[in-house]
Amino acid sequence: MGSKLSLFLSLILFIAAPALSQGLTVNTARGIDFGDQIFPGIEKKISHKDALAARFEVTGEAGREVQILFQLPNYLQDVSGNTLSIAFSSTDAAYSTDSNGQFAAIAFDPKTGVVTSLSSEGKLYIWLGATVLPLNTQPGNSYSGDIILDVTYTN
Amino acid sequence: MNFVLKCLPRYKKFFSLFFVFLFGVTFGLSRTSAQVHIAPVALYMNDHKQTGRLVVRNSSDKPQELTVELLFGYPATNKQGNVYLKTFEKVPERALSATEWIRVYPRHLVLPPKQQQTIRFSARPPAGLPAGEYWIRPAISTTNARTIKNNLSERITTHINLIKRTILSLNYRHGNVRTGIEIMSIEAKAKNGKLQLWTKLDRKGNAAYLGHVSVSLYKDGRRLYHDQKEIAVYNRQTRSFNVDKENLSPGQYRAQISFTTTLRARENEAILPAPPVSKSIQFTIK
Repeated sequence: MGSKLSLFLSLILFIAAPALSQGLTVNTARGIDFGDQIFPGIEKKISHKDALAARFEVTGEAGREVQILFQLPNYLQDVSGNTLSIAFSSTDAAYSTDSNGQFAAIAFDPKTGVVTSLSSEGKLYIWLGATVLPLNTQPGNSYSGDIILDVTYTN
Repeated sequence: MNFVLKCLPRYKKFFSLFFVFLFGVTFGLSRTSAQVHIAPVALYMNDHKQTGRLVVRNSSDKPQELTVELLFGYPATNKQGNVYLKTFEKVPERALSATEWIRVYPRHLVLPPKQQQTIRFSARPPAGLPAGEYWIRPAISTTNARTIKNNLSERITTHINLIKRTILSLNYRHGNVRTGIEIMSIEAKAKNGKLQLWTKLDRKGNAAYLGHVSVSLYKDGRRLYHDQKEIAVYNRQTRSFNVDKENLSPGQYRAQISFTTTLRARENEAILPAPPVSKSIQFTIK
């Protein structure tokens, strides 16, 4: 009975696998981490080459052209409505088809995005940095905000 | 077939292991770090198939919030001749948009870890709709189900919520649809030591052209460069094809650009066939 069930489940999984494998996966391997050493009046920058930069992995059809674009906040907000400014420069994002390619990755402006191709293994790695700009009078609290990464095939 | 069915019980353990292995190789093992997987990425519907579906799978250990929006947009080109997805906050008048009459369900859900969900689309095209292809870009946003924290210390800390939005395509074909492409002109331009072929394209018929483009460069009858890739042409556009070859020596060259739907149609029966098209230009590099 057990082996019959095993055979049945295996067949079902085998039939389902090709349909799922033709898709697109976007994985957040790591978020931007400013840590807890943020002080009033002192900018804190994380470049795309920093170990604390956000890292995304895109997996899809080998060699297919994709558009990568970010929607970025101007500030983060705490539960009391206080805001903390956040900025993204024209080189704060970078991409590579090499998972270890963070230092040699090609920089791009996250606000205007980039069109590139997935690797022959169907992979693309993206890194994103940012700068927070606390005021001299910035109240201590936890500030949060959304970053949206748009991924689409262009063809 | 009977032979296979007779043999199946005898070798069921082998088949079980084989299929588990095959599934692991094709899906599981290659995506161990995946979080949210969406398939397929292109949907084709028509008057005889007014429903469509896609599957979203959460392979992470955390619940994922999932939201589906229906955008209107299509690939276009910018002033640099590069392709980008042009989306519209408000659908322009007379646009070939299906956003008004295609419904999606569910639009919002929380997907538990290791679970999958089918997203369904259904079309109700209005009476008197002219024949042609109508477009939607379903955008599926996913993020970890969020928790709002209040910092009890006096430190400044941040929490940035990363939302991944995968934008797919949905083409609805109503009535008699056809497609084609015309290469109106090709112009060779040198920029930063590289060659660009500026190509004016006009889409024919009443549906998007989905095919392959190949770019070749010849000198003295010898092919120096060749590249082929998938292309989607929804409207008239000017594209810049970069010839990825540096330090071209002075002389007379011929560039050829060709379009075909054959390769793509072989992989996907939903691709509309169109006659192959090709155009060449001669130019001199001084």
